[in-house]
Amino acid sequence: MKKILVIEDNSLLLDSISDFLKEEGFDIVKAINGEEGVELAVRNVPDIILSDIYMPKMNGYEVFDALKANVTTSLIPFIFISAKAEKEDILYGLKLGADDYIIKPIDFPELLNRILTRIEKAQNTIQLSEVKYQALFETANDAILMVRLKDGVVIDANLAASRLLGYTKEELLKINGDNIFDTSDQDASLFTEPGYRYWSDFVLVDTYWKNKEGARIPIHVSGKRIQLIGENYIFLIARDITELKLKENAILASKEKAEESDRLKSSILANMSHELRTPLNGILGFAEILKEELRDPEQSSMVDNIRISGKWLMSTLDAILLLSQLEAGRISPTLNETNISDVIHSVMTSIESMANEKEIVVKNNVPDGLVISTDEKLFGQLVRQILDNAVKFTIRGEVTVDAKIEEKNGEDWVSVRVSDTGIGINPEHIEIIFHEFRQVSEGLSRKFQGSGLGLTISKKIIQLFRGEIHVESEPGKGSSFYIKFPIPQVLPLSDKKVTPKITKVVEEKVVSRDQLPLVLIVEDNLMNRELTSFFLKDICRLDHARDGRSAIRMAGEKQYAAILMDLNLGDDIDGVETAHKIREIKGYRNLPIIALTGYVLLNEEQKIMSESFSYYLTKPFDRNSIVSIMTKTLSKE
Amino acid sequence: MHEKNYKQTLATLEDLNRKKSMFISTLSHDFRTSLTAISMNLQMLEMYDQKWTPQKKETLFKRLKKSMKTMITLLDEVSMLAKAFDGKLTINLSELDFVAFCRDYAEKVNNSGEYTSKVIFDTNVETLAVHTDSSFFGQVVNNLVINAVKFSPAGEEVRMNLSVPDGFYAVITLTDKGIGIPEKDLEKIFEPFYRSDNALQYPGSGLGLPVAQRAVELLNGSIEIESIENKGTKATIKLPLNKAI
Repeated sequence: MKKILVIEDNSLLLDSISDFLKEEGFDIVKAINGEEGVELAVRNVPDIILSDIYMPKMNGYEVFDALKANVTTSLIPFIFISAKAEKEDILYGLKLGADDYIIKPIDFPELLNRILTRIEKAQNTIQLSEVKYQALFETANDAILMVRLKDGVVIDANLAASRLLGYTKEELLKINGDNIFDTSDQDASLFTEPGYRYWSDFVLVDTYWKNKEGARIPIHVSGKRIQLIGENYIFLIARDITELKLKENAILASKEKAEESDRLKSSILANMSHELRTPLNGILGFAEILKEELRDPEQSSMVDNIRISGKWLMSTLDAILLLSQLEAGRISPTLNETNISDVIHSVMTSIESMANEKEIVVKNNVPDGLVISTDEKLFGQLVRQILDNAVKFTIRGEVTVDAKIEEKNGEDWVSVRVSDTGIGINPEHIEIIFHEFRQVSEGLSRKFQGSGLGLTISKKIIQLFRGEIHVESEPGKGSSFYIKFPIPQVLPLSDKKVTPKITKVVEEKVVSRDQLPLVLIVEDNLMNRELTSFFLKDICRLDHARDGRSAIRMAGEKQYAAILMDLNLGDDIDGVETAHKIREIKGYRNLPIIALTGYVLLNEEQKIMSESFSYYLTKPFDRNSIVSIMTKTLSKE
Repeated sequence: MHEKNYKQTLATLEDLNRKKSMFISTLSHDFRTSLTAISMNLQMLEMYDQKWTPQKKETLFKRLKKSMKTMITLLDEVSMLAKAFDGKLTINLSELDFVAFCRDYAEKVNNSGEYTSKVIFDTNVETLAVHTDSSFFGQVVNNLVINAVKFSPAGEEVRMNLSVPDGFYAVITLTDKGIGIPEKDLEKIFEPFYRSDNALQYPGSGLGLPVAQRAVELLNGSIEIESIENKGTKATIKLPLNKAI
């Protein structure tokens, strides 16, 4: 028996139409207003719907829209029945997509005829769509399942689903959907209470299904919830993503491996720098002492060469370390009000001797008093690297430095230009100059010394500053390097500095050795201990401790005026811990403790250091630094 | 000045024209609906004459009668309004006992079985003979009582009270606990065919109150409506007493 839903707000008309259609052998569902009509349509899924237009609250057009928007009812033929007989009304109704429009008063034979025609047409449409559905369903390469939500029973499954899950279709139609889902996965508990409540109308998830043998298969599944005759179902389309997952995992693994290697590299570099610095301290220190002792000019010049080579090794070491820290992301700019004119000037002073030697003129066109908020150390490094290169690759002529502050996209930017009349760079080489350890002339044709790290470091620093660096160059004529970066608007909170500013060298005082203050030096390296004693021989007497424990014991026995503490003390407790313990000893709470370290410290570490130590010195330190700090410290006593 | 007057007149005319079109369109829709009911039931009576039992056919005859009655009421009301508009209504005075009329009317409504609310009539007057037009008076009482019961929830009583507070006027009040009238609609309820949003799901033409108002005006009286949406409505009819000698 065909089912007809009649929606009509006039009960007299509703009853009359219903009586007639019942008499003609139809099953009738009556709705007295639009909302009830929509509800009954979804619940009953009639073969055809007749609806009035003029109805309070939800009118016929709105009912039509609501039913067309719902999958369950969208294909049901829909006929408007209305007392609105104007041509516009009819056209409007049909334009909406209604199958027919009948004007009141209704001629019953006519109504019957139209209803039958529409039902037949709809059946043809449904048959066609059924054929399409079957074709699609069975040929699909993705697994398709239709599952009843109330109990998880599989209602329909296609060939691809059997293939994916290893069940025959008959077996699939007997099992519960929960057998397919891997319940160890939260997202997967989808059927039966309470899981299915989490199904929204449409979902798209990556999850796991279990095949007949119980093996986990990674799948990408899209699901749509549909309601049919008061029953909830879910359509699932699942794709096997095993291959994809394998590839993904492989990529992830190699990424992790690469990152691990990178971390390892940074850590090796940092450790190496420590290992190299410690002996360098000896080489440079003793060379310095030796130079003072020697009277023979020839020997003195040889010692000078030892010092120069040592310093060169140091600067390479510094560059490698800085780069490794930049690459490891362990450096973040510490902003301070900085007079960059002064910074540039001091960098220029430091390279003056190299320039003089090559008879190159270095011109300073930087205006005085450019003050911005930036990281002074990093900015100095940046300018140093560029300037260093410019001088290095210029054989004759000049190097010019300009700087200005300009506006760009509403922000203030710093722009520094370093121009030289050097060898220039071929356009095809411009890319590689920013790569680490690269120089344009490599191998046997290498003409210029240098590690090839300078520009890489510059590039990393400029990236930290959110800026850019670029080169304009003409081979044989020279190059211009442009550094540009926005000035940060936020002012720094702290301007506390740990490193003391070393201003003047010692005022010499002649006192007898017995009156000199007693200082404890904690250092496990014999050579460094001796070097330090030598540097400080006129300022204080020194007691030596080889490790942390002896230092603590000795501090308990005697009152020292100051303590020099190496941070890396071999296997035993380190310098920081030793310092903490010593601070607990009576009389040592506020005693100056000076840290000596082979590591270059980062901002964070500097902060930690400032809590335990009065000062710190980075190895290798020269005589002036240590003498100046100790003099200052001891004179405060 | 001229231009402004002209424009104002034009706007008024356009507004009137729009109202007339609406009026005709609504009227035609309502007629068509009743006609449809009549037509459908007649068709069925004809088609299934042999097949159906007399009892079943009786239901259809009842529908026919009801639809006819709806149409006649609608016609009466429309023609009454048209006449009132043209000033062509005349009154026929006769003597009528308001008390007896109201009591009988309440009983009639309660016994009709058409409504789910009862009317409770109450008065402190024994008889009140008035020289009036009994047809218009009946229309006023009828339309207001029917509104009160129609918009009341099942089982809620409608109170009908008749009093003569000062000897010059008869005051009839109808108090219901029905759906009430939204405040924004209060000033429009006397316009023909106007129906509040909350009244749309109840049967009705939108002519009851306009007709009652014209009728009460002819009797030199007034209608006052107080209402709170979702709480209820109180209608007060005031009519001058022209006592019989």
